[in-house]
Amino acid sequence: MKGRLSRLTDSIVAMSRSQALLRLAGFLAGAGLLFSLIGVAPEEGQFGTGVVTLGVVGTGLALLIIQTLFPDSDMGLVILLIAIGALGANPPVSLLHACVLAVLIAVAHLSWAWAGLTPAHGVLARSARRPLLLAGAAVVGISLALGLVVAVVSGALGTLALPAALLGDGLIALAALAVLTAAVLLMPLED
Amino acid sequence: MKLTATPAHTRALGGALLLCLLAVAYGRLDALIVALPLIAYIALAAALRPRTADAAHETPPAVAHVSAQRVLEDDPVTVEVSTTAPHTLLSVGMPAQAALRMTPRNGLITGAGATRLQLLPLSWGRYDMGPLVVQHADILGARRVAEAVSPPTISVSPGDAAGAGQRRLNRVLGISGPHLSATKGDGIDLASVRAFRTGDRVNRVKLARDPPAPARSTSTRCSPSATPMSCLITDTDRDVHALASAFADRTGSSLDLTVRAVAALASRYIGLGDRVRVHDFGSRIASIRRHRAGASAPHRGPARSRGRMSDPIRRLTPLGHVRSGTLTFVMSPLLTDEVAAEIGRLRAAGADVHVIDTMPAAITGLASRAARDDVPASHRSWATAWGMRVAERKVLIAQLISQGVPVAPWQGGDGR
Repeated sequence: MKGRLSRLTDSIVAMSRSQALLRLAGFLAGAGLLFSLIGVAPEEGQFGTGVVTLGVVGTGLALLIIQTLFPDSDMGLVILLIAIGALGANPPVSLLHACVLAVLIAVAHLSWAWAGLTPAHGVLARSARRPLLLAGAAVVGISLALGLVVAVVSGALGTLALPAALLGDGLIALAALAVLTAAVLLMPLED
Repeated sequence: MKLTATPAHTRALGGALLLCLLAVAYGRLDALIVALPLIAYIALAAALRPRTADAAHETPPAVAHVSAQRVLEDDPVTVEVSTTAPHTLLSVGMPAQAALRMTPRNGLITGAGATRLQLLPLSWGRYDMGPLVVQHADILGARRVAEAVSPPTISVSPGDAAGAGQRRLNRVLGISGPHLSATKGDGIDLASVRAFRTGDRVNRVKLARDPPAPARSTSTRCSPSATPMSCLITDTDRDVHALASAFADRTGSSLDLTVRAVAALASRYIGLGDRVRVHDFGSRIASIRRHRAGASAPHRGPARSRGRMSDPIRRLTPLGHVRSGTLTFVMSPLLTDEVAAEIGRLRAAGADVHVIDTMPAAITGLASRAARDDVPASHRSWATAWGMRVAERKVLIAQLISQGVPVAPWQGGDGR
């Protein structure tokens, strides 16, 4: 009888390149989401903050690995819960940081959704590229546009100044977005 | 079919709800902005459901087409699965088969709308491609439903049916070109046109060509019973093949060689105007009697049925009456005395018997391998066993040749 572990290794060996790229995008965006939320959290001198943060991020990363191996599982929801908990524990973040988080969540969520449609050895046909790109762009575009509208309406534009520490998170979000776009644009496709 | 939500939809719903709760309960505007992509995802997924106009939660079943149902070996076949619903990602998965090469290699492809799988049959036979697993999902992967779709069966004919036999057999018994019977009868080939005589068939009178004329002309036909007949006899009860990689090389098994030889010889002699009869000593191929040019060629007949092995102890099915002088080919791996006895009986009845040895060359070459040291012990005993069997066969072949029956291995399928 074939064990669960050998089936898992088989699926990793047989993984198609399009699946690997989608999962890489999901992992990168998920890790970026978790790490960009640490930076905001620590309040100096509080007992155990570091330990709790490490525990939360460590658990999140472990779940992230599981989610990357099984994109069709519900682990992604738990990762989102951890991220939301970290966001709630923080003081309100700036508008730019919120947009970065939104992009990271969109990229991670879409990559997992598309990767979870077939087993790891499934490939994508050429005909799927344009609809996937359009749908992904629609999700990111609509949410960013709505976000700006919300910010303008509530008059929260004062925090738009770019803090130096945020540049790293912004780069992570851009990288995740670029990897997802590249995954859909450059992945080997079959007729 | 009813669409169900994927874990992605659950994830978006749960995350969006919690973030909105955070935003409302603590007045956190940033949480609302972070929730927006998930909300946009849910809204877009609801708008882009793969549905038809009349049913909101149902998606129509997919349809599978194949580009051709009858092909030759090495001809690719495309299986296309399509659906009428818009905004659909179709994932098509096909179970692997030993003699079928798929592109993509793993047989699982996802495409928008119509999705194609390329198939390359590696060997002759009938391919039942099993139920394809087809998954309908929306573009965002939020809803999906799977179904089983069965494409039509495809039949693959031996690719060298026309070529190989004709290259090597130029003359039939010293006659070339179509040869018909000398006597006249009820055949289909025109023998002559002459004046009508009492007793001629009325439906043969050529009314259209000769308007009121004193002498109506009528056509006579060649008698079918006197047209030369070739008889192809197969021995399919034993399917001998060297290793599990039988599909990799074209001359894999004795059944393969038999079918290729029957296809090539039948198309050759039908092309010459002979009647061709196929008889099977075993039980894999249904006997085909008296095929003529224009009828469906007998090489379409035999279908791959490797799974069904008949009882090896069962007696072979003898060919009944055979006319003296009938050109007869016996395709057999020559492993049993019964086949040799039947060949002797046919020869005694006056048939012009030729034996085509369908034992694969990979097996006959085993005898020399058995003695070599570099062959592992487990393989060596196997090779020795077959070597002894081949040596026994040599006696049989020598006896046949000494009685004037030519024995030759089939090489038609090798030259490609």
